[in-house]
Amino acid sequence: MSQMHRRQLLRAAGVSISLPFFPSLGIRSASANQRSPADAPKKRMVCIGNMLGFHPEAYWPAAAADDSMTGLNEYRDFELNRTTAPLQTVRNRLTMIGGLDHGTSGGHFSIHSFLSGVRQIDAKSMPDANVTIDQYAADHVAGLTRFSTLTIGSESGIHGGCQLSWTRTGTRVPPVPGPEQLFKLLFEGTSEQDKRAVADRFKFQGSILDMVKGDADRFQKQLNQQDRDKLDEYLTSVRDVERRIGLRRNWLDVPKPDAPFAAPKNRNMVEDLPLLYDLIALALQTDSTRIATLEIGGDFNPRDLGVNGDYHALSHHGQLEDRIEALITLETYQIEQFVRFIDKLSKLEEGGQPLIDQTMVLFGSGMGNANSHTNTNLPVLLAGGGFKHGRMLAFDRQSKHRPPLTNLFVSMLQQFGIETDHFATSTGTLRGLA
Amino acid sequence: MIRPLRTNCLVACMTVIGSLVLVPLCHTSQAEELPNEAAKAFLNKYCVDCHTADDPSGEREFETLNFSDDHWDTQLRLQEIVDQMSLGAMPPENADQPTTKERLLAIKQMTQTISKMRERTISTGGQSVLRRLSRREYRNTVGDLLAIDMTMFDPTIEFPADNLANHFDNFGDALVTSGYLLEKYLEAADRCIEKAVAPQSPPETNEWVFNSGFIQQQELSRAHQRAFDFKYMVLYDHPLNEKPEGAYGPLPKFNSGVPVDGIYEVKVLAQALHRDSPYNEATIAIDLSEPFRLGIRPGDTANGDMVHTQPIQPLLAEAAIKDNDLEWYTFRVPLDKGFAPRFTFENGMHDVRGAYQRVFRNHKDTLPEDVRRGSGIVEFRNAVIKYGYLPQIRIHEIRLSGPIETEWPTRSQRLLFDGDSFDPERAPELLRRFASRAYRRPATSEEVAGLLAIYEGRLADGRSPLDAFKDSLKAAMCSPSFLYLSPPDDSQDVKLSDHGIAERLSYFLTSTMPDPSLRRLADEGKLSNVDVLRSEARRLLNSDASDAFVADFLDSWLNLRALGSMPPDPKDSRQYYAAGLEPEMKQETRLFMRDLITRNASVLEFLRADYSFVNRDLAKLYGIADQVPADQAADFHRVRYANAERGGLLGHASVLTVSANGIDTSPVIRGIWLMENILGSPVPPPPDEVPALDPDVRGAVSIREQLAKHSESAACNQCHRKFDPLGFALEGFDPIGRKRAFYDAKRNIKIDTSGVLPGGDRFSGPEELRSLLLERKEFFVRTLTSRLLSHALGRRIESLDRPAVDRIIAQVSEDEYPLADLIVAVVTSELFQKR
Repeated sequence: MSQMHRRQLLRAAGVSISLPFFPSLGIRSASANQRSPADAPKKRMVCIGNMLGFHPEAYWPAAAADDSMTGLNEYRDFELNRTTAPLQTVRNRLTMIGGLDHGTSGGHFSIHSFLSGVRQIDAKSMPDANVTIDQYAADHVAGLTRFSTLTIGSESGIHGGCQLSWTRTGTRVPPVPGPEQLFKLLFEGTSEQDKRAVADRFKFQGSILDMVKGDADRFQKQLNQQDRDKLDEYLTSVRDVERRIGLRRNWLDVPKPDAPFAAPKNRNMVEDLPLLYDLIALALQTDSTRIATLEIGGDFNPRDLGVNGDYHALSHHGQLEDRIEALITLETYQIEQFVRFIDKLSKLEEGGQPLIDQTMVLFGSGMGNANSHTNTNLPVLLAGGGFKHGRMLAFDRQSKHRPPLTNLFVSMLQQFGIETDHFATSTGTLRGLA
Repeated sequence: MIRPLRTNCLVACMTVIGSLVLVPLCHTSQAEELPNEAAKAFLNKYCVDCHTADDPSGEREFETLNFSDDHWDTQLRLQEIVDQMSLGAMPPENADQPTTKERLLAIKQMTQTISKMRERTISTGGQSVLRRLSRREYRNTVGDLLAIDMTMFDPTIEFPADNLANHFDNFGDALVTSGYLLEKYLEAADRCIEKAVAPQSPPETNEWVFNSGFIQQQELSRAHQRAFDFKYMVLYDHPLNEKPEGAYGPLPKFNSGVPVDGIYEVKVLAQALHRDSPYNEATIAIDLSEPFRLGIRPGDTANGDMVHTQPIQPLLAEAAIKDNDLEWYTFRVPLDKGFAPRFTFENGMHDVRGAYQRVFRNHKDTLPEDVRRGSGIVEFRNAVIKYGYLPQIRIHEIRLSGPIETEWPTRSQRLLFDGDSFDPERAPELLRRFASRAYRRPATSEEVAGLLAIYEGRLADGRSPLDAFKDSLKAAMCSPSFLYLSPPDDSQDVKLSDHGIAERLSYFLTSTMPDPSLRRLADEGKLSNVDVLRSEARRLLNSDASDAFVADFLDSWLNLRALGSMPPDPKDSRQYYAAGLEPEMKQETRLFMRDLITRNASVLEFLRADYSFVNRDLAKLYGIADQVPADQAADFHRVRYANAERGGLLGHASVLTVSANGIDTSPVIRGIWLMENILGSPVPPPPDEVPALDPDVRGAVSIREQLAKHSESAACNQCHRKFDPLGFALEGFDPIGRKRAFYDAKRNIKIDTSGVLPGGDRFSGPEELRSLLLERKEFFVRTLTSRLLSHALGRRIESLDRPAVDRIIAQVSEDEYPLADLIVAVVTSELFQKR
């Protein structure tokens, strides 16, 4: 019965959309020598996290003998497990990563640190607080797209839901609650009045920048050579901001893309999940954003899949078989929808290249095993983005040299085009990924 | 690739230049070249055979290595050679081997050369580089410039963290400006000015009463509904819990907070319950000997949910709550628009979530029979909250009213308008006034013209005169004249102007812009007069404004800013979290330094004092709880140590925590910390390939034995003998500064705090080490003086500054270096007035 129900859902939600690709804005950087994100090839990032992880026994491929001295085994011919079986059709587009975590504990509270590696309670002691990878990357591409990032999810669920996105100030990015609101953001035009207010603000900021350039120029005569180099830093910043404002101002006049279908209404997370993925794909395809984050949280209600029980309660299955079966049904559904998303990104093209090759997709959870409330050995999948795929990287959990999961984030940020060699607790890039 | 800090590495193998406890620092003058003959001969004899350009098997070539070229590349190559030789990895086994003496001499010469090169490449030539306000300076400055209350307003919260150089956050060359930061400046200026000019009409006073429907966090709802139908707000956990439950009591249906900035009166009808709880301490993890303290911390739904920790939540007020008897408590607290008060149990339980289960495990008999069979956290919670004896603060009613004592127009408005309201006729004059304050010197006509152009442009855009005025103030706050400290008037000048001196003095001693009387002296051109400067320094030092100096200087000098970046294991150090020890540890060190300033006492007290300032949490940590009464637990008291083991800075929990790594101590890390911050001898990093020691507290191996092992290597020992002993002296203190005699819980591995300094002086523990340090007090005094100068000038103190540093010290050496006099001597020194 539940199978049947699910198939109906997919048909209903699986709208196929093809849009002409959004014309590039063709904006050149202010200074020809300065390489800026605007000139670089487009990179995109999608992070997806669920609230309760995956039942490990049904998720992980059967363990092979650890025969490495390095604490890392790379497998190509691994057999997928029950929950992960749907990955078969896209397995060459992704890498399964096992054995990593953030070294934190805290049960459900650690879900919040899945994308940061830093618990909220430790945020104060970190230079960039508990900033998450999506928000960190967003700072880098601010102004290039209409939205520098979109976070979609819900507040409900134990301890306030997934809470996946955090800024460098240690505050949470409030999520767009559902397809209805996301659709509005992506396709509905801004009122003339709002547009005028924003345009006025840009104009004002532009005149401030003109004025301060004058102030800086008059400053020069007081400075010796090393001071001048410092002031150049300021002047370069002024030019950089002018460029960013220019980009943003352009977005004001660019009409939003046409809506590919009628505005949807929010239903429930189970039914909305495929639609949310479709809207994210559209957001990327129309270059409305380069970065999206999806929280699959506590409002994911098993009943909508025809399964009895509460998601959180089921995750504490206590080894009862029927509960585990129910849980596997939910989890398989989540994997299937992820596969559908990857498939979709593979079929969309930009510049003769599948969109998936420019889009790195991270899928996983801050929960390793919800039944025992552990945050170790997190389920992590990395798809697309131009990485080498079709394999499993299994890190030895006992190894002293096991890297933190944040090393994966450093690798992702570098692939995204950001020159950084660290992120939160990282010790380098992720071994074996390149 | 940036080389990571190797603080976790227990092996360091480079010679420390001119350092060491026993040898006086011998600084070579800048021009002098080091002899490298032995090193060059060594390379020629043992290395160049393979490492030539035409032999690829050597992978690197040393023929072109030029010892007088400072380039980074040379430094990296030399460092690599030193590392390989220290490890004994080179020359390879099958090649000719140098004698140990040859090897050590070559290593020594090369490391000295590298250190010298490094100093030269980062040198700013004994001058401060044009520097912008640091994040903390910006925040303090806008508070004073606009007369706004900064308790819960932080316009810098989105600024990127400032780069640190030797722990200092105010070095001009290290402080960078980026496009990202400039965008944040634009946003911050907007927020600050809008806040300063609001509200537009006199605020009305309101009263809100809350006496039912106290719905707290979701997890508690079922239990609170069953137990008392939300009639009370009940607080259990202390606010710093990892998984706070009942730690923050929000006001029901008051999520949008107060409507306007102001002082509000909060009346709370409350009682403390179950301070006589029958549960043992392991179950409820709380100190029942202290009266329960109710706190008020602000919360804003824009910053996070109201029942969890938020990024801005200073403790606004606190009171001890009477046991059992219901009583009204009245507080006056500042609240910014949008913030609501939240109620906290400041010395509450640690982990009430675990306590539910522990009550079932340890005290089942205290529960009614029909609930004893419960299982799972939900049933445990429901039962224990309804029938148990959890220590708690129970609030029955809350009355919030305000704003009270409103000033209208506000102080900010009167300051910006120079009157009760904005008069567009006076716009040019008001802009000149504001810019001259913001820029900390008279604004030039061109600058004022620029601001006026903004004003008129905004009028032309259709903005109201007041809005246009606000916009031009925002523009001033993005000008380099506001963001950067004033350099001398001409590029050829070395001496600062009077306004430059005033600015330097105020950012040194008050961490903010000059106050009106200092500014007046600058305007009158009187600060070049050393007597005037001296009396201004004394005035500021004696005022509360210099508390910011004490706090910021200690953060930079002792790296106390890093406190908290290596949090200890919550299991072993519950106290650390339960008591919120971090700020208290800092407070101890601040009060200690403040006291030295007030008494103008000797800086040597930093090393030898047998007293300190502690509250009850710290007293408990130090094992002297009897010296601080339970009913004055939150106050800091001056205490004297009977036992000389703990004393001076080296006994402060702040220092002991920041020089450990949180989880375990390391004599190497603490030793290096002492070398750098107390003795002023920088320690070069260890070779990259040396693995960190793995602390092993299970068996018979102590860290001393592990270190002894690798000290058998002559190359390693060359450095380790200099700092390991210093660290050993402090091994009697655990990672958060508690005394200990054994490493392990089973008391098998005894701690040995004795050591031998490189010159042969022996000590048995911290007390004797302190005496040996006092015998070499010049090192400490010079370190402290250099750090004070660094903080004042915003730059590194280099070897060419040595004569100036010595002249400062000479002025105060007679009376054992009184601290206030030393600080004043820094201000009146020739360096202070120079670029």
